[in-house]
Amino acid sequence: MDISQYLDSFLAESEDNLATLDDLCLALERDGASDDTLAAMFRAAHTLKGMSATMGFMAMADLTHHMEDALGHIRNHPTEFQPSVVDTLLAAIDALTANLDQIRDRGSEEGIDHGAILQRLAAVVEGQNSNSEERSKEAGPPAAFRDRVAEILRSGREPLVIQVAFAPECTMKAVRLLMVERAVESFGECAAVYPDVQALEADADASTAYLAMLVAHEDADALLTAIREVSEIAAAMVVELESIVSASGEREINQARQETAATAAVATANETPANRPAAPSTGGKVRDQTLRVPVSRIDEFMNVLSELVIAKTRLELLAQHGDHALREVTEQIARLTSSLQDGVMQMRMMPVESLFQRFPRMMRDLQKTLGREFEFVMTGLETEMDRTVMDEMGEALVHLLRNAADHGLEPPEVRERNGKPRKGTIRLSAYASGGHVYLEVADDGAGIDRDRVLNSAIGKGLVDERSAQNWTDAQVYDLLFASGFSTAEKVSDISGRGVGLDAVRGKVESLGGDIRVGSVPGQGTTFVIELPLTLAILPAMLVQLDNYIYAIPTGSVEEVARLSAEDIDSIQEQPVYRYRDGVVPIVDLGDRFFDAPCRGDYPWNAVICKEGKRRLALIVDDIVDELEIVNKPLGRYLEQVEMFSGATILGDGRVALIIDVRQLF
Amino acid sequence: MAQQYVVMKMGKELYGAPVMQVVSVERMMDITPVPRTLPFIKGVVNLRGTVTPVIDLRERVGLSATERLDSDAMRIVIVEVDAMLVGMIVDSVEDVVTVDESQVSAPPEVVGGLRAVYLHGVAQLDERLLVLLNVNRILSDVEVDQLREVEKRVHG
Repeated sequence: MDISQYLDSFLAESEDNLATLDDLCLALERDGASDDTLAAMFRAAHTLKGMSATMGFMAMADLTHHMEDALGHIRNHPTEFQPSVVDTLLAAIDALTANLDQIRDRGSEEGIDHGAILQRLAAVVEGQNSNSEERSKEAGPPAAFRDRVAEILRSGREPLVIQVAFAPECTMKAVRLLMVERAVESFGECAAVYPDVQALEADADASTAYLAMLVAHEDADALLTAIREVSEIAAAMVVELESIVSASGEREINQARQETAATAAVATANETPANRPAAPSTGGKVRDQTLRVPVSRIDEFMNVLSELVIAKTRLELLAQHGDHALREVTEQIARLTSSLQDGVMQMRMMPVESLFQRFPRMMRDLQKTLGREFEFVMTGLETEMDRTVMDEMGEALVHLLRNAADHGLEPPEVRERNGKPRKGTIRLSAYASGGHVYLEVADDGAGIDRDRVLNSAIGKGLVDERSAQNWTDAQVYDLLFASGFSTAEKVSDISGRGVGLDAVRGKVESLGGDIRVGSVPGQGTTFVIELPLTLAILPAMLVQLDNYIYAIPTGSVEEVARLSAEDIDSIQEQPVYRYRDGVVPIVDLGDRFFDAPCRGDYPWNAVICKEGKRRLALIVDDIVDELEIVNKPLGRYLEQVEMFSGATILGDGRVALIIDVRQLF
Repeated sequence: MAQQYVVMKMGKELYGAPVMQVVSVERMMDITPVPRTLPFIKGVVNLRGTVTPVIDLRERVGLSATERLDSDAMRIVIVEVDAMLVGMIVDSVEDVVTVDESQVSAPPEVVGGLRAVYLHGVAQLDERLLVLLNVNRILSDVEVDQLREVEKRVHG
């Protein structure tokens, strides 16, 4: 079978399952060994195992199999659950992730060795198994059988457990067992047998076997009679469930019985079987049906759509001179096209959950490595964002979260000394408002120390000591993002912040967003990132240069001006524009692009661009229009091109490059 | 192993690109120049909604820039390497031929000024020589070249 065509969906789904497992591990650590959590983990691990085995990735299948074993033991011995087991499970997930990465990159599992982690998983199983092994010697059926019984109990049914004793002279026990199974077949499902036929063939000394039957308990007598009729069977008897399931399991039995009773009561009260819940454990949440589509396919669709938009524009031109009916149809097509476009845009949006889901794990690990104690809270997981923007924000958020844990929060002892709760809180929230998405990272740490930041910046020569005295807090905090600030080695120790914050700001601004920081001494620090809802469509100003059109994102444009001779000065022979109470350097785009200046006679057409606090006057031949454009990537072949962030297709089908204003400063 | 090649003409010579890597052959279209990039990168075109870079194959592989008849025969051959689409401008596109691997001989060090690294080999096609291109190499080396270009600008 050619499996390569399934590889993509295998990779995607496995990734999802690993992410789910990761989340559930944390839930396991937080809430203890709850049945719901473990059941969900089982499902995810089982799917992983099945899929990887089908795809022929045996190392992965084997590791998941052992992980299932470990999970099984945790589930069946909830009282023995140690949070330290979670570390082992997480390590296994990491190993699986690495395994999956290699499959993606190289298409094979060559050289993968899970030996170490398999041992750790085995230790989990053995560690918790040793007790039950002993118990099994005194009280009959082994752990595996008890586990199965416990599982059935949890599903709300009560199996009938039957002990079958072989006659001493019985030589072919396996055959007899098969006959027993055959005999009980008509009564109901046999959910578990111990030992199974193969084990019996191997073990001649076995004298008893156990069966767990899913039958009406009234049939017990008839069932036993049927078994006893099989020759060379000495005895058959019903075993009390309580003696089968471990002490901890007993509670479960009672609980399960109560639950079943309750469900039954409800069902009777309603008198309609349809009202009966399908399975007692399902929570009432109904999931929307979803379809997994590769982003590339949506992008292709988007391309076809933009072609359609162009064709529509031409049609509109033609229709101007046509009759009434043609104009009407054209208008209708225009409306349909734009709603199609909105629809595709919507498809590119994803809940931030998919970005956030990896953070709880990271924050957990950070607590351990940094020796901090904090609660990590995430809100607004359902907030939707453009996929491209989201992918780009991952690193920046990691930076901010790390900063919050490392520098924002005080060590637990310090917190206690200052009369704050020992455990801090780090909050990651997302929300949408007015065409923007906001991402917020907040801690309840010590806040930013204004004086330290200032002193450090003065020391680095970033600010002049005298002028800095009157600065507002906001101005001072802004220094954290200055590029010279973070590169200095000791800064993070002095100021408490500064690791790569300039990189974070760079990333955010390149996406057309903005980042701010607020801080209250002693109460904490909050970083707020503001991002456009989508990158795919952005408002832009179209300018002309030679015969070509270029687009400048409106976000970078401050105003448009016509410069006359008296507006212009020069500094060191470079022309500058007197603007408000300062001067702005003039950049001639024609010069910059083609060594062919476009400044001729006054007035010059200028676009005043801004980046942070800096400004620039771009001289162009003409300013054409301002409209919404579809941002298309230039692609990998041109990724070294710096002055352009992308391109767009104009109404007449020509391509216009989008100028990355930051590169012109 | 026989392979099919799209036969492209540049000057008087014939060049072959593996048919598996050729996505389509387009007539010349409006090219938007990308300022400050390598000379052989002619710009970008709108290929059915995708912004696609276009290079001049002649300049790319180092053929002498002889006068090209700006005729209707000129084509843009769109090739795909590692999910990357690039158009190559050629004088004309002739045919698709099947070449058996056994007919291919190693390229000579220099063919008409063309750097041998960009060649897969040379095959005899009837009475004429078909120069088989290593398209992957032609496209992938661009990063190295771009870096060199930047360096040149920085250090003069």
